[in-house]
Amino acid sequence: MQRKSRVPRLCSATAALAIAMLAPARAQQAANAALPAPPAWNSRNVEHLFNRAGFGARPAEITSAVREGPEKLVGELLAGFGEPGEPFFLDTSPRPSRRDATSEEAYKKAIDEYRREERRVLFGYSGWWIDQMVAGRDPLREKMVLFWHGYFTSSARDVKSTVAMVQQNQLFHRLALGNFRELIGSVIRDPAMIEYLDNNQNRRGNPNENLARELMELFSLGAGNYTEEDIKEAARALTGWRTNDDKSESAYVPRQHDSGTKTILGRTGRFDAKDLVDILLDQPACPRWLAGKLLVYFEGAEPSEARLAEYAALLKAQNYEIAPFLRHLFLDPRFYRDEIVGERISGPVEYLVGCTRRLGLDVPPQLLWLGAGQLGQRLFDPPNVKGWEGGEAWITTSSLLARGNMAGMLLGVVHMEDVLKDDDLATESDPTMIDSPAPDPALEGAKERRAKDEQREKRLKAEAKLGKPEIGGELSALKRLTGEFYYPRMNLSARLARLDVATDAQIVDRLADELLPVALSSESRAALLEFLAGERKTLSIADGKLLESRSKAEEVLRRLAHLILSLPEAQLG
Amino acid sequence: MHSQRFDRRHALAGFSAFAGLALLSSRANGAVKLSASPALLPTGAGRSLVLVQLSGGNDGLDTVVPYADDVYQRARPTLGRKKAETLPLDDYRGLHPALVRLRKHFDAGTLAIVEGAGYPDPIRSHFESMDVWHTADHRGRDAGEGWIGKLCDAAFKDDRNPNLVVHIGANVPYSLSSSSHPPASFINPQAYRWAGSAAATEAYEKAGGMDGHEEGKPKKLAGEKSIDYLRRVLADGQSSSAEVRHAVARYTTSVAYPNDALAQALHDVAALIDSDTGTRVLSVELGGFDTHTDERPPAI
Repeated sequence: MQRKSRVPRLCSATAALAIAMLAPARAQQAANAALPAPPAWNSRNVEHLFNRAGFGARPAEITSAVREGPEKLVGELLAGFGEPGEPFFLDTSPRPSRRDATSEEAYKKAIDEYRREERRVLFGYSGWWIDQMVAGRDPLREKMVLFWHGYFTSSARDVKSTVAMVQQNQLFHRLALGNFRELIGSVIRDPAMIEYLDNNQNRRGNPNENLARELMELFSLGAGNYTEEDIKEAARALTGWRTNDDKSESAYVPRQHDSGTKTILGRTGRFDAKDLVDILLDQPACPRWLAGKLLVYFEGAEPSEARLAEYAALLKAQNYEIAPFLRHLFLDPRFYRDEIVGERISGPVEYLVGCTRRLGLDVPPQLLWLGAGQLGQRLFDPPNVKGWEGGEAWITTSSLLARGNMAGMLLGVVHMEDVLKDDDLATESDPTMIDSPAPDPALEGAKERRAKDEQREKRLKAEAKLGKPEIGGELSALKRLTGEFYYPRMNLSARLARLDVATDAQIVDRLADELLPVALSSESRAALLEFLAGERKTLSIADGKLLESRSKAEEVLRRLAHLILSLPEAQLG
Repeated sequence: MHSQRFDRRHALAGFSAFAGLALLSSRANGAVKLSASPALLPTGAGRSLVLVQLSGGNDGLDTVVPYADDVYQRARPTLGRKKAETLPLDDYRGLHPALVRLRKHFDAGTLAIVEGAGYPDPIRSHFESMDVWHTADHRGRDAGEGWIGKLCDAAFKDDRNPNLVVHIGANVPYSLSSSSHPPASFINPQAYRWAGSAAATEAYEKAGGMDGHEEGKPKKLAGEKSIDYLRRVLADGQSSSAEVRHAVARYTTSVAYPNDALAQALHDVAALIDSDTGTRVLSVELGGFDTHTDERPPAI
């Protein structure tokens, strides 16, 4: 509501400025497909860009970006805001070897410690990455790293080397907005990918087609744009690239390479891995495939044939440079059309990082990593080589409820125990119980409770394994982290009081504006107002006076914020 | 759940008739046309269908081994198994030696085997194959909803109970995909809820979905706003979760379920069947059946 009313006001004030700033950029882009007109630069569109090219924004950031115009914001998104932060330090000392150990026992001890350290490093690196999403200078780069992480998937579970997984992610950070030819060329030589898709087993005379198949099907062309024979021949071109034992490095081993003549997608020669990349990128299917994936990721909808063709041509004309492609997209008014804005369902990482950013919270990043895992997106552990399906597939009847619970944990109003307790079940009337004899509470109660407790513990242990085993006790880590070591550092009542907010309507509108990536619907607004009035009534506080009672107001506001972040509106962006 | 009894001779044919499948010949490797019929789904009171999906790119020829087939033996000079290395089912095929317990079911007539499942001109993509399997249509997802979803349309028509179809696990298989009978799904029934005070829960239901929104179509329809889609899923989740938690909390059994994920999911399946949630189709999944380079470890 608030957001909609803000639009026309700020729009008129900045329209002239926006056009003035666009002029030189448009001349510079004349070589590309011309854009019909610059996007209207208002808070709706600015927030849309922050949602899609980053992880959402606070109202103050939106207001200032509206004032400064599209060129400035798009430029900053591509180049990063301010100075780069400290890179993650990765210790690449080799895995202990049996040869160097003085005894079998000493070796076992050393390898155990190495594995523990590997788990700590993966935990630490995930935290570093999430920190970059929440508070880093380069939200668009992080958004692209998340894209590549789901596009060129590898799984820590299969690769079994933290060093390899972290180095792969660092590769994505380095080339996130760079050239796709360089990126895909690096990925097929990446130790984690070589291990994940079995290229260590791909040798002259004894080929393994796994990497070649996914390279064509998922990384460059898409099914239907190659034959089985192409895959077999491509696998031969990839022979010879393998990793060392601890998967920290890869190397080309000439005697394992099949240097014979291959025929791939109609071309014949003594091709190697680099030639293969050039052949794939020359295929008309390749720019279409990548442009389609990028458009779906940023727009949240399948592109029309015309739009896909336009952006595929752009990608090809730019020789697969990602940054100019994104620049064109973010300055394209059609990126801001009604069917796109506010229609994309956020993934779990986007949702939790977005909640944290909009709340202005300082959360241990591992909490978000663990939380996103519970919501169906465990970083470094994609469901399969195709990555996360995304979109509607994020949403199930239970994941939607669980998102609200995670938001409640961030706000400190929900704990894991609150989710698991069943006190509400006992109070509900149960028609099937009427005929059964009343149990002796002294005898039955305790026994049943104990049985239920046991069953619950059993479930908790089994739960994380359902579908897939967890990597290292994440569920219990999340339970401990939220139950014992986390307290939300924020003061919503002080924040709102400073903004001259007092009445229920003002509180609801302001909080919804701060916390939601899209506008609040009238149905939701009515329910929130009713809730707030009810809470005030219980506390015997008149409308307009809630914030004067800070101690009581804070609890009410946190519960209101919990409701807001549980709304369908909070899942969009 | 009813388990239809088959005698051993008719085990293959029995399931076929039940599912509307064509009968396999004893040396079947030719194309067999699948055609599912709504009769597969239990519409009578007190009957349910339980689907256990064992996921992975499994080597079917090393699971049900056609040991007597010369072509098989020639094609697999090292991987191939001789009769003595299988649990023979007849004079042509045998089970992998690890499948002792499935063999017992086969002998008792409670196991049916469908061999040679596939589709014409396969492109060998794992994902295309799964889609073909989940839709029972060579066009994959282009053919629309999942095969169970389509059967539900025919069998349950206008029944909009959100717990009619339930998947227990992290990823809902595409076979259950349906706009009219979408599955409810959860991993842990005890965590299947939104935690908040009574007043907050009331507001959540009003704002979120349950109040005044139609249940039972949570697949996004063409042209539908995402917010309306989310509201419908939420409405289903709100009513489904309360019933599921009730059902599981009330269920008692003398069976000791092992402490692994599949057994725990099957415990919940039993609880739902024993409850009044009206659940007719229950789905669970167990992964890890990929066959990789270590299919046959070298002899020591």
